[in-house]
Amino acid sequence: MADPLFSIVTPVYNPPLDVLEDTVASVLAQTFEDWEWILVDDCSPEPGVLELLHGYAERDPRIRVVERETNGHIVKASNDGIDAVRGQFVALLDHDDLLTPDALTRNAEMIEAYPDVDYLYSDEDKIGEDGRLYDVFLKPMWSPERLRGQMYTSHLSVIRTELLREVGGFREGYDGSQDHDLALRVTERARRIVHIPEVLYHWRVVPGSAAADANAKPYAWVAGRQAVQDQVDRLGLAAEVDYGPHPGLYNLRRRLDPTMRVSLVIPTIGKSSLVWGLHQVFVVEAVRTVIERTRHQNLEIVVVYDPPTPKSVLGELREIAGDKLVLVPFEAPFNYSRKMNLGVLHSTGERLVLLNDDISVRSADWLEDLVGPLDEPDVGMTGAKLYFSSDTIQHAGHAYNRGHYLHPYIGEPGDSPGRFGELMINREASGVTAACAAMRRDTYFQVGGLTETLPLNFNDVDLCYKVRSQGYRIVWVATSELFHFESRTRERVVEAWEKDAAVARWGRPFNDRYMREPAVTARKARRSTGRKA
Amino acid sequence: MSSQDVAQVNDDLVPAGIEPAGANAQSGTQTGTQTEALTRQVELLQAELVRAQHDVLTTRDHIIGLESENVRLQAVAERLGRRVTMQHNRLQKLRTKLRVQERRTHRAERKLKEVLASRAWRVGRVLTRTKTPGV
Repeated sequence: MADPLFSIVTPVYNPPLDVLEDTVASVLAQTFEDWEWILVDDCSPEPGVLELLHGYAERDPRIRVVERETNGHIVKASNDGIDAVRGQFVALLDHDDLLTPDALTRNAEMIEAYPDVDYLYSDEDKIGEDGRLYDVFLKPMWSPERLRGQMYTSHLSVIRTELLREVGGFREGYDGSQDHDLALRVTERARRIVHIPEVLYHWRVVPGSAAADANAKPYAWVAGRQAVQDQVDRLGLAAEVDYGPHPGLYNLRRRLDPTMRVSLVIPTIGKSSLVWGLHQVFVVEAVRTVIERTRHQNLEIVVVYDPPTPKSVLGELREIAGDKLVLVPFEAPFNYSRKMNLGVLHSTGERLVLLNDDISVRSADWLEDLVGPLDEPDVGMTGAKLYFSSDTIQHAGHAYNRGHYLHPYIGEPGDSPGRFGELMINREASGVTAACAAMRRDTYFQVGGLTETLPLNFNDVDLCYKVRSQGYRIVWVATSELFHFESRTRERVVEAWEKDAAVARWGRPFNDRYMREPAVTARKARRSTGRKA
Repeated sequence: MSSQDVAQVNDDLVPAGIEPAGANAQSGTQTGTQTEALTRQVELLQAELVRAQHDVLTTRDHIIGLESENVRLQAVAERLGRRVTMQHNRLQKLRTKLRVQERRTHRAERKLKEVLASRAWRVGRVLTRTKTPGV
C-alpha cells in the first residue's frame, strides 16, 4: 500500500465508548479516503476501549492500533503515534472530538494549491453533550504575535510529517500545553502556513475538560507560559512572558534598549476641555502623562503646533518636558498628515510614535510594549489599546469589513475580554489608529509617511494599507493602554470623497482576515474616521 | 500638481522658529558675525534638507498609491475583459440560434405557401365551404 497523504494521530485514554464510536464514525465518514489512522491506547483501564479499537482495525486496514505498556500521558502517547505514521501530513485528533466529513478533503485541496505548505489550521466550534454545536471560533489568518498570546490555531492542526519529526514531536514537560508548544516550534520553521477559514472540527465539551473550563488544567497555563517564553528566547526577542488576565492567555512585557531613541510626534492646536471634571489643555496633559509614566528616558517629544496655540501652553510644555521637547510651528492650512510628516522630518529617533494630543497615558509600560515589537523586522507598525474617559473601549485595532473602516469593540466595557480573549492579548490587525501608533523610522519613510492627499480622515487607514502592502505585519498591543478623549478637539466631519479616495487606492474594504465576521457586529462597530487633532 | 504648487507646498515646511531640544539653554550663546552667518547657513541647509526629505516622502506616497491603484484597476480591467469575452461568446451563440430559427421560419413559411397554392387545398376549401384566414 502506498503511503497515504494524511496520518491521523489520536492518543486514547479511557473515553466513554459511545463518544469514541462517534469519533470513529466521523473519521470513517471522510469524503477524502487517502488516510491512515494511528490510535495509541495509553493503557486505558476500561478493557472495552481496546476491544473497540481492535474491532475497527480489523474491519478497516487503514486503522492501526498501537498499545502502550504503561500509561505515559498525552505527550508520550502522541509521540508513539507520530513514530508510527507513514503519511505525508499528520492530523491531530483527540479521542472524543469530531471531524466534519470534508475536513481532510479541504486540507488536501489546500495542499494541492500550496505544495510548500508545512502547517495548516482551520476554524472550530464546540459540541455539547446534547450534540448542539456552538461557540464558533472564526480564526484570523496566520498571526504569529497572537499565537504567543494564546493557542489559537488549535484544532484542526495538520503538520507536514517531515517537519514534525525535525522538531522532535511533542516535548515532555509541557503537558496540557504540548500542542501550543508544538505549534510555536513548527511555525517558526514552516515555509508556508495556511489557514482554512471553515469549521472542520467539533471540540467536545465534557465536564472537567479544557473545552468546558479554561481553569480545569492550571498546570497547562504554567506550561503554556514556559512554551511561549521558550520561543521568545529562541527568537532572541527582548521580552518576558507574563500570565494574561485569564487562563490560557499570555502577555509579553517588552524591554527597550536604553540607547534606542524614541521620538513622539504630537500635533496640536492647544485646545482644552473638561475631562473627569477638570479643565485640561490636552497637549499639556498628554505630555505630562508621557513624562510621568514613561520609564524609557531616551525620549524626544516633537510637538507640531498651529499658530492659535496659546504661548502659555508652549511655556507649560517647555516646563514639563525640558530638553526633551522640540517645538515645530505649522502655519499652513490644516492638514493632519502634513503636520505629522513635518514633525517626523524634525525628529531624530529611530522609533517613531504618532500620538494625538487628546490622549493620556494609562499603563506603566505603554511605550516599551508599544515600541518593542518593532524589533521584529517583519512588524511594520503597532497600535495601542485606547479607552474613552468613561473607561469603555475606543480602539482595539481596525477591521475592514462590509464596505467600512470599523472600530470593533467600540463602547465595550474596558475590562471585557472580547471574543476568545482578543481584547486581552496582542494580535495582528489590518490596521490601527494613528491616535497612538509606532513605526520604525525607515518603515515610515519607505511607505511615504501619511498621505497628504487625505488631510483629515482615513489617512491612518491608508498608512496601514501601505505598511501591509510592503509585506509588514501590524500588531495591536493590548498592554499599551492610553485614554483617548476623541473628538473633543475638533468637530468630526467625514466627507464622501475622503472614503472614495481611500477606496480608489485600496479597493472596497470587506472580509477582514484578522477580525472576521461575526466577531465584528454591525450594532457595535462604528466607522473609523481617522480623525486627528 | 505643478512645480509651482510643489514650491508653494515646500515653503510651508520651513517654519520660522523651530526650537530644537535644549534650545533654551543655547540661546544667547552664539556671538560674533561670522558665527551668526554660519548659523544662518546651517539653518538654510537644514531647511533645504527638510524640503528634499518631504519631497521624497510625498513622492514615495504617490508612487505606492499609484502602484496600488494600478494593480487594482488592472484586476478590474481583467475582470471586465473576461465579462466582455463571456458576453461576446453568448452573443455569438444567440446569433447562431437566431439564424437557425430564421431558417426554420423561412422553411415553414415556404411550406405554408406551397400548401395554400396546392390543388388539394383549393378543392378542400370549396367542399368544406370554409375560408382560410388571411387568404
